[in-house]
Amino acid sequence: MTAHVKGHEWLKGVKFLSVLLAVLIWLSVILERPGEMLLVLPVNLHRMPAGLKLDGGAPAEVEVVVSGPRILLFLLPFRQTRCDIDLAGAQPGLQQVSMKEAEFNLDPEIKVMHVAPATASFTLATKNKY
Amino acid sequence: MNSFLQNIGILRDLVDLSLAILIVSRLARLLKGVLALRILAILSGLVALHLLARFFSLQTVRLIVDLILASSVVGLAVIFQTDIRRAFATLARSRTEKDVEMSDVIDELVFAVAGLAQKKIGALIVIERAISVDSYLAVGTDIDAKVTSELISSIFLPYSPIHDGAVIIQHGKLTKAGCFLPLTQNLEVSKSLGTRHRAAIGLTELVDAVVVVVSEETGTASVIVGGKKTDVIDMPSLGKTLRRLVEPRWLK
Repeated sequence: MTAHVKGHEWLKGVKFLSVLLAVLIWLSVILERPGEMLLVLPVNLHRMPAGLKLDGGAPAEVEVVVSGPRILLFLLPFRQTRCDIDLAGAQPGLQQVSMKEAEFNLDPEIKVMHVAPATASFTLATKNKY
Repeated sequence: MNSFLQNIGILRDLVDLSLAILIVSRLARLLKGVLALRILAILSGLVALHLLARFFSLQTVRLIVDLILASSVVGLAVIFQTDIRRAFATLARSRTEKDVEMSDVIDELVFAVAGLAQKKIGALIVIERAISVDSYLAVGTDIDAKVTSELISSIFLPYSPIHDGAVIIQHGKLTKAGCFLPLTQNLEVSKSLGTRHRAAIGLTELVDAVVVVVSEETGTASVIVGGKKTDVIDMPSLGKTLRRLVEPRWLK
């Protein structure tokens, strides 16, 4: 009787593990399918030239539509992703930076599809020496 | 239109998942023993680890797991080469060959029953059909041998340690001997019938198996199906009855 019970348990175990393995394989396939996600990212102005300062407001956030494997998109809202605008070589006056030049610290497999607004406008002024 | 396409997508995913389950469970059935369970568990663990590594962007872990998963195909082929060879051999066998095999099994059975009946040696032979009899068997010795009249006769010889109980034929092989079957609880069954007949009726009330009983008192053979007993007039008619009741697919 023990042998038969063991045989049944073996069969149940094989069935359960087969289903589990198949579901895991299936998940690993469907989660690789491309998907899109809308993110609202903070704007970070960096490498500000010495002697210059931000005069007035600058866009604090941008809306970004990203595309990539779904498995990589799930955690994106919980990651500290930001939009970096490089100000090296900037001159005083009104700046209009295209968001195509902005950098996003995203996984290389995730592509930026669309950014709104398309350009960031802000004014740089010379710092008062006193 | 959009919702229709979405529904098609869900349906396609469900079909995809169902077929994946079917393929994995069919492949897993080819592997026998505890090793199969362990390998399935290890593979599941590796695929889960791959998913986690991908999810949390752990590039090194992912690389290692993917390498192991890719090389495991070769490893599994080496470990289970005997099982794989056997499975392919079974697939390659022609239908005619299987019909011949079926005929062999029935012929061997009839020959054994004829010999046992002539010597008035009691016998109880269970032929499994679509429903598994495993859940209803008690005790028993695993054999897993080709069905031959000599083997069946020697099992039922009075001095054989496994002559008490039934022999079980599953998928054309003699898999167990000395098995105790559930006795019938039907009060309408004739009191003149012995334990062998009661066991045969009891089992066939629960499953669709065909049971051949040889009475040691009268030396007559009978076929029992669905709790009904039919006496066998002669051995050619036993062969005919068995060929009618047992389809080749149940002996594969």
